[in-house]
Amino acid sequence: MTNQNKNIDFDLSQFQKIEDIIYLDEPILTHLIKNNKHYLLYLVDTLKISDIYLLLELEEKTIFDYLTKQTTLREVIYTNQNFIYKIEQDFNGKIIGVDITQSEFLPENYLPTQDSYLNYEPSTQSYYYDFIKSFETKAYLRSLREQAFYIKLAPTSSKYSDTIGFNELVSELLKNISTSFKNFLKADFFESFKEIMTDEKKLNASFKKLAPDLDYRMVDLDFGSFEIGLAVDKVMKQSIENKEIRDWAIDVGYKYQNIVLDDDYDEENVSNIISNYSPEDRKRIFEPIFKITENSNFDFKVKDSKSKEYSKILIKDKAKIERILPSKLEVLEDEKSKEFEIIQVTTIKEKDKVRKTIRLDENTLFESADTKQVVLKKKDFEKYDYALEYDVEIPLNISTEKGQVIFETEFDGIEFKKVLDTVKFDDGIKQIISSIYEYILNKSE
Amino acid sequence: MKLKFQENIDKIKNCPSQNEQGEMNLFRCVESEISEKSFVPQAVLLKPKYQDMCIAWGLSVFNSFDSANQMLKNLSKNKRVNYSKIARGTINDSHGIKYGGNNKKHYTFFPTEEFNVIENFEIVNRND
Repeated sequence: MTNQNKNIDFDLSQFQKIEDIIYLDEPILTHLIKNNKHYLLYLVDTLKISDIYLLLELEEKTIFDYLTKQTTLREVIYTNQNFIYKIEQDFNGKIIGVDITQSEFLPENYLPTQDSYLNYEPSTQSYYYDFIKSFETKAYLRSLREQAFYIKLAPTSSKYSDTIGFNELVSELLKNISTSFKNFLKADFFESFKEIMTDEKKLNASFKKLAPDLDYRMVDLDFGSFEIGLAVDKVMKQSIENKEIRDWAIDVGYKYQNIVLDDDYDEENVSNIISNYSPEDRKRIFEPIFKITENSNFDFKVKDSKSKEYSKILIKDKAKIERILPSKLEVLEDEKSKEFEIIQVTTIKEKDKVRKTIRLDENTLFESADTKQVVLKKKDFEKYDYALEYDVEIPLNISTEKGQVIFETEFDGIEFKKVLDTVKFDDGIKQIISSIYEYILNKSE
Repeated sequence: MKLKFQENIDKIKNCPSQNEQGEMNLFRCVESEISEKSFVPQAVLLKPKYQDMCIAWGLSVFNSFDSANQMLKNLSKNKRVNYSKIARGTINDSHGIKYGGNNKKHYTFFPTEEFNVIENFEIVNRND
């Protein structure tokens, strides 16, 4: 050690003591703080009248790594790039000498063993109890952030500079993305596992159980224009027992990013979308997103990681939107589990009141509209013992007029229509299905 | 129950502040063999700067052989020369006060005046 500067003023009491990390009849390794900087004071030798300490400045993260057995004390000291103070203190606590050195000049006698790991177990009263928990949380966030993708919503108008309105952000943008994502999760889950779990109730129950764990984790945020980093948590999903479902749950977040938040919607992606998702699912998934991309007031951008450049989600060829979103198809919520029947409503109306409508429960078929559209599928035909060899999706308009129900549809360019009394609703469905089936049979012969 | 160094301990307020009850196996780093010398708080006797430090008047012990051994590996080579063995003692409430601090693996044992270290501690090479 060269350039010894004996007897320079040095006051250890100006450092705030955090805790003794190692104690053996006396403090061996002590964590100190001064001006928000962290230090370790390490007792390395005891001479006839004095103790020799090393004082080194280091990052808080290094202390966390050491306390959690991720690095050795030897490594902490040996890799330290700051100046290290070698302090000589007499047994009364008076500093009698200070040298400045660097880690590479430290004698072997001042260093611990190669495997100087420590697995510190703090009690609740210890400073490190919260410290370790806090760092574990930060480490979790850091790992998620490294694998996050980013979306950005920016106004195209410069009226309010680059800032975005709070209400428009929540109601027009975030709500649509969230709706699209939730619908994608459900559609893709059913598509992926319908062959494995043929019981629809079990499929539904599995999805409901899984749904809370499928959400993206929000791991980064910037404002002005609105930027958000979204990550797929892999750690928590390890608790999903079924391997296939676990793999799907880990992958589905990235799948949504690749398929729905695609920046150019090329032909390959559009074809995959159309072949893999039903028209109803496509409407649920993509309509909310196209509401944003087609809104000229905003730019909707995406990038794969924090360090990459943003690309605008832009579907130049509007015909692709028309191919993805089926026209004239109204999507019914939870249609798969709904059965319909006609009920009669009797009510009392004040004679002089002008109002001529009555409020119906929102679950009733006709709600406030006169016409409703449902989609007839293969299973609807099977209900009446008509076996089809392939899947169909036939939009059926059902309307009421003067106490009668009208069933209308167009299939293969042919119009089908049945008009029956409202009490014969089931017969109406059966009759129109029968007519279509007859047509299909005749056509195939 | 009179502790060793009771007069010095009494000068420090609320010392020791708690006592972990029950019988425990505790491990102490010692020199080559069990001797009274290895069970004296040498640091505080040699260094007045520790006079007011409560736990300096007790003996550092660990809850397992591995914890004691791990701590030894974290000592500098020069400090490690004072210790070559680990001794285990089964300590109950009549032997003294067991004070647990911030580190769950470390206790400070304040033995009673009558406590005989030779009878109660033995050199071990592992936990049991």
